[in-house]
Amino acid sequence: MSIPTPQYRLQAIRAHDVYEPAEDTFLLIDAIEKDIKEIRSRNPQLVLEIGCGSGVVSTFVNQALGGNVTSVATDLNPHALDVTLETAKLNDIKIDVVRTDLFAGLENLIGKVDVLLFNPPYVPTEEEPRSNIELTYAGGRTGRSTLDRLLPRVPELLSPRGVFYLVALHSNDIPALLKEHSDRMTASVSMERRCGIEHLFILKFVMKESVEAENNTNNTVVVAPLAQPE
Amino acid sequence: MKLFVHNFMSSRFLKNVTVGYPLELTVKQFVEKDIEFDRENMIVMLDKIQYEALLVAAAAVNQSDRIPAEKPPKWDELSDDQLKQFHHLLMNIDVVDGELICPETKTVFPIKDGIPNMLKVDAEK
Repeated sequence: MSIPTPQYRLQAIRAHDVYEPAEDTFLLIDAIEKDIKEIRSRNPQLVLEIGCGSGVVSTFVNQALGGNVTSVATDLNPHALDVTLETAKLNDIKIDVVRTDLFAGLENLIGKVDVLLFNPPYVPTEEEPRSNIELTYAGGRTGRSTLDRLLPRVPELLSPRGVFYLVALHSNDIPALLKEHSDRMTASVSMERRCGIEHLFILKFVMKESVEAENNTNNTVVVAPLAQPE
Repeated sequence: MKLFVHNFMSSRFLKNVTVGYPLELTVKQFVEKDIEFDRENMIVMLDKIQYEALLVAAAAVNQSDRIPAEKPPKWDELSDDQLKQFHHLLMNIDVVDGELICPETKTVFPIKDGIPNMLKVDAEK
């Protein structure tokens, strides 16, 4: 059974310097569609997308999970949040959006996110991004400057049954990314596709079932805040 | 911004803030929607919720009377009617215009057109 790609208004996206759905977006959607039965079996309740852009991925996931989940999405760019709300409305679903850097200000989501989605700015770039549109892809010298700020926080952000989907480029060092949290999460390549000069990967990280996690039903653990760039 | 979002927010990311939770909430305008109630989903959501913060949110919209002052011991022992009161607060109430305020530094994070802005650089201007 194929789940339709969400509708979106390209005109609104282009008019506001919001990242336009492209090969990476659709590869992430394909990876989620491939796994949808398994994701459903985890009985997810809370979905968080960091850097939602046009909102197409969050909308797709909400629809694919039958609208029975609560979707939260963040972005730095206020226009992206407007467009995300518009995309959600166009597809008759609900997404709550927060303007912030990664998940700063949402620290009490820690340990509660069942599905985490992140399509970071992954293109290696020499110069600091200056515009909204440059911010959507510029990933610093390794292409990992934004990812490297989030990745250390992923295992604590996820719920014990949580799953994390990440878009990466071959040049972001896929083997190193897969090994990043091998003690706490099982990582795999969900999909890969060559699109012109880009060799795109969707990486999937699943929390390892542990006795510790099962017993950790108390969510009042005090955790360090997410550092924002000054 | 639905009220459940407030439950997950904190200002712990600000300098010199130790707890930063719950955020104070002032509501200038809100709308009440009619989101479909699902008993099982509501119980899963309530398991993720901190009760003290929910009481803050309920008071901010003058609807504290919907829910008990003390956290119920077990969510699955509540009737559908009782759970619907929680559902109404968390899922139906959508804050359009208001402010989130750090309980320690009193830093203000505005909610405009239903979108909270948690950017530190904007809040500290």
